[in-house]
Amino acid sequence: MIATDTQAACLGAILFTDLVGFTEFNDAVGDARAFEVLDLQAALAGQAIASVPGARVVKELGDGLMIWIDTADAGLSCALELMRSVERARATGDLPLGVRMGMHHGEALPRGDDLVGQTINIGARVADLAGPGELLVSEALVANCGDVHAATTLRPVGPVFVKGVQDPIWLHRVVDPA
Amino acid sequence: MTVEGGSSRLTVRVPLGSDVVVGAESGGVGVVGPLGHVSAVSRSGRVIVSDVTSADIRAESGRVEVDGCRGECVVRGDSGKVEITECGTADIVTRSGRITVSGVRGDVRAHCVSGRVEVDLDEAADVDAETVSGRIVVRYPRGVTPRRTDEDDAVGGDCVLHARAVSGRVTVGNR
Repeated sequence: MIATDTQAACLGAILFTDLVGFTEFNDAVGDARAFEVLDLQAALAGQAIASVPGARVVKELGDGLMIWIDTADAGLSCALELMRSVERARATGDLPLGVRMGMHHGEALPRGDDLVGQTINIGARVADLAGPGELLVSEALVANCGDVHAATTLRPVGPVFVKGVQDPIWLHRVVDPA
Repeated sequence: MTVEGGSSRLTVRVPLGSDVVVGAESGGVGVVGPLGHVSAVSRSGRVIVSDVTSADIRAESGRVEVDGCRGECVVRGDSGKVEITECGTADIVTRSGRITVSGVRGDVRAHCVSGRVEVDLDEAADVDAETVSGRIVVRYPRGVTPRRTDEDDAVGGDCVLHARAVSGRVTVGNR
């Protein structure tokens, strides 16, 4: 049973990942190989957040992951690390599909081990707009990052109208400085 | 300068060479240069961009046409067709929409899940084309031979071709 007592809202960064074309890939190669790919994505994400306090995989969403990180700075670091490890796995051929990622920053309400709220909904929509190997972040995430990521190059994507949200969300594409 | 429109047609004229950012909830977006960097996002409706320095275009369901992008051209589409004629480098991704790239002067990255990818090169350039269940067609000018990364004994070549289809077909040839 899910614990539904009222808990204090938490402030932080939400990162969504998604294996692009997973359903078609599963159809083409079968369940066993698809299972391996899911495992690899989970392992890469686990490595990326392992040493970051306040970071955890909230849940798996089919072929994607929902990851919470307590601060925007640490969140961006995790996402960049994951992007790099995915790229390495793609280069060696271990990972046959690209991973797209989206991040947002704001408050979320704990619901058992899960998190709910508009911050979560928007984060998921941001990821939907990314391409494989791409990380998109909201203006809210950028605004809450300190100087740590001053060297990170951001390219403007523009104002995006998200279903169910009245005002557009400004997005940026993150170019890995490494 | 920020201009907010309503539900009716909106026309904005900006100085030559300006960078432009456009977001539309629905309806088409047309951006005509000469302009600098253009970012355009539309949830539905066609996006047409011409004569720009570089572009980043996101269209959830509409068709995308780019004609004349001197630098990097990034397009993220879903089901709509993406057609690029003349650009510096191309980085195109769709889910099921067909990708057609021609007149490109630099490297090309074209990925889709189930659509067709068609790349027509005017000169030797690296191509990274992927599909899960669609079809890939890459055509080089006469005399240009790519080094294919999917061939174990690949050596030499005028450029690199990484073309991968999980269950689709890859066709490579010269015009």
